Amino acid sequence: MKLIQRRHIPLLSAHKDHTASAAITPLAAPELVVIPLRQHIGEAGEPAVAIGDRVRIGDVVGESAARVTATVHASVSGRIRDVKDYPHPLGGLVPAVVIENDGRDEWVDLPVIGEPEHATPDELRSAVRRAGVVGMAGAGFPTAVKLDPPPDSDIDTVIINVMEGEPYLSADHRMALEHSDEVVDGLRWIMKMVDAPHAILAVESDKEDAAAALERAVATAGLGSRAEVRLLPRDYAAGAEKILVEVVLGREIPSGGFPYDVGVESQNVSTTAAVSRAIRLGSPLVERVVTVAGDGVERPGNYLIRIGTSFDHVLDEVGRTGDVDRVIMGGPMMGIAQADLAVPVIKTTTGILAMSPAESRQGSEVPCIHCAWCVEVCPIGLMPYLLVDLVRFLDPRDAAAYNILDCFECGLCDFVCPANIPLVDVIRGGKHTLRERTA
Amino acid sequence: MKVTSSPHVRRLLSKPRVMWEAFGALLPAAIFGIWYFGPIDTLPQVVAAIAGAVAAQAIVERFRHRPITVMDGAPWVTGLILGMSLPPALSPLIALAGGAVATGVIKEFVTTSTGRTLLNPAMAARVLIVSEFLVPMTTFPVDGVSGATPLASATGPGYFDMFFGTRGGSIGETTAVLLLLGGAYLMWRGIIRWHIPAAYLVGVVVTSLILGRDPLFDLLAGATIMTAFFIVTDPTTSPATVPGRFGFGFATAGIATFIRITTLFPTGEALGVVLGNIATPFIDRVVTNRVYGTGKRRERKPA
Ligand code: SF4
Ligand code: SF4
Repeated sequence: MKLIQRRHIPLLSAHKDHTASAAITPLAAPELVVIPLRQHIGEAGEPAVAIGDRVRIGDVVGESAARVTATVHASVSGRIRDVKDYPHPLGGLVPAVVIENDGRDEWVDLPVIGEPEHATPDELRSAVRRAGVVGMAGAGFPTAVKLDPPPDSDIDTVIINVMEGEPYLSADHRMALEHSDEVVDGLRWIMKMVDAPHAILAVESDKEDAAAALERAVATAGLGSRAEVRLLPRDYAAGAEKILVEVVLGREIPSGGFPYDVGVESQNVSTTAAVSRAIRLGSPLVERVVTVAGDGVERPGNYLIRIGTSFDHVLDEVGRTGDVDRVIMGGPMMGIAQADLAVPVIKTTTGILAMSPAESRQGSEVPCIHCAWCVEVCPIGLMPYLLVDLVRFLDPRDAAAYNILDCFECGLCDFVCPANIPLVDVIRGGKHTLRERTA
Repeated sequence: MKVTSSPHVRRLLSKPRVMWEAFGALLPAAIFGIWYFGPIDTLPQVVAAIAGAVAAQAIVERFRHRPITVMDGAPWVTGLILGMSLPPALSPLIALAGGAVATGVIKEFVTTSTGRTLLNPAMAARVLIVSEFLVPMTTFPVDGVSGATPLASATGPGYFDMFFGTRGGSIGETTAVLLLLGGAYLMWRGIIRWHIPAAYLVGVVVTSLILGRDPLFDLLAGATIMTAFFIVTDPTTSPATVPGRFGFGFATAGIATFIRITTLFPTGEALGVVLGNIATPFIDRVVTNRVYGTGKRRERKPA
């Protein structure tokens, strides 16, 4: 008997069909971009420009000397209008650089590595770091740091995550399909940086076209003997790094540990393409593909959007329609609802969803009926209803004994709960309380 | 814009849906029983049990200043299960009181430390009724004549009668075939899982064999099928993990069957279920799933 049940939970996959076939289209840049100095896990950057300065695309506008940080760059050419605290899509106010777009799209001279084949891993990593690449699937961990595992870790496999299980989202799917060569090129450098002999591109089986494109790209790049494309059954949870490592290699990352603890380096597919651009072109992360969808969007699709473009501008460009009661950054399962649509697109914006009440199907909470569906779907074997009971009625400290800190907020328990209990919200609160007490 | 926590979508299977589907799955067996034992002798009790359960819950909710939720179907299911577990010709007043006690007292006030109902309300009410009204409860009509329950008689009905329900017994518990169909429907809908019913049925067979009896008879006798699919599967009062459910189903079946066989009370199941319920909160705390990345790593072949 398997201790952790793994089964496909049918999510609202139909919503993907709108955008999965929508080719990546550039979105017109706005007149103003707002570039937060923190779009990643780690230290925020210090402003590197002053009001009135002229910048070109790719100019550094914020950086820090800390190890875990990511440089941010101008995504339009123009003049710095302001440096001030600004609403951030992850919540709160974050210092940001506001640039007035002059519409000329002038680029800086990009620092290209002459022959990356002959560059050392450290030189490759500095190129990734200079380009401000972060984990683009949502976590936002600085990629150069992730590509620098502790020296004693013996990485034998790189996993490229092309699962994208979230309903609605198809940005990664389109990246893998339309930029497969870039992805495989990025993979080559990643394997070099972490010194891994083998790589697996894990593709969810509903993206067969992307898998085929990647397979061709692997063959063209002559990586056939070291990299393989693997189709995996549909499974929303397998998009999560630790679950994917388990599904692909049968290895479990220890609680609180990292993929390198089990010899794995895992990277998201869009991030991998960004690594290629950073190394081949010296190109910083100043734009990204975002799925814009939901009942409130007239022309849903995958748009190439400059970092710093406001959600309002995006929705104006794609057309607003219908009755929208929430706008989400990310997917519907793990995304974040936005209070203020002035917030900018950042490096981790996988999607912008304008959802109608009918789509989100929220209901009012009633007492738990103890059906244990939450227990059955939890991909890591937690007892979500029990965690909620402990946090709400008893002592959150007891919840630590039931591994509440391991919850990665995938949302499955909440999704299936027939009593509409906000499980993720309560568990998140409990984790917060625990961390504060132990801090 | 609404700023709520993720996830921002939900599945459609809501609590009212779950409850009304369970109600519907029980109806065929209930209707058969009402028809077989005669509506005059049975319909009033079933209706009274439901009415008692629904009314008592509404009253309690009113006085505790909570939203009235009786239309979510839960007290209807409780009342129906109780009504089906009563013998024909029992006074409807007793059924009404039983329904009221089930939701108004047991469901509401006999709770765990986190406010969850501890005992299966219908079964606890049935146990109470039995201890108060021992004689009318256990006197089941056979072929329209009042007499001792067939379980207590030396020559029981044949397997055929037991399978199709043409035998004496409680109003809605005799027709194995309709109950099995109802249970199968709920499993197909994903509302109940197979673990508890399977463990329960295995538990009945094992107990029967240990006591040197005919296991097929014991599977079809009394309220075994009803209990396995509709009563021990009550989510609130049964454990949450698969191993916990196996243990719970098996142990409850053992206790229930033992009591039923050795005491000749047809309410053995009810008492066994209530005893099993008491262990549920404890099982839930102790029999948990292994959490990813903790404890002993399981060996698994990669995909
Ligand atoms: S899914 Fe909801 S109702 Fe069911 S046990 Fe979990 S929290 Fe309770
Ligand atoms: S949100 Fe947390 S508790 Fe709920 S299913 Fe996901 S990992 Fe498990």
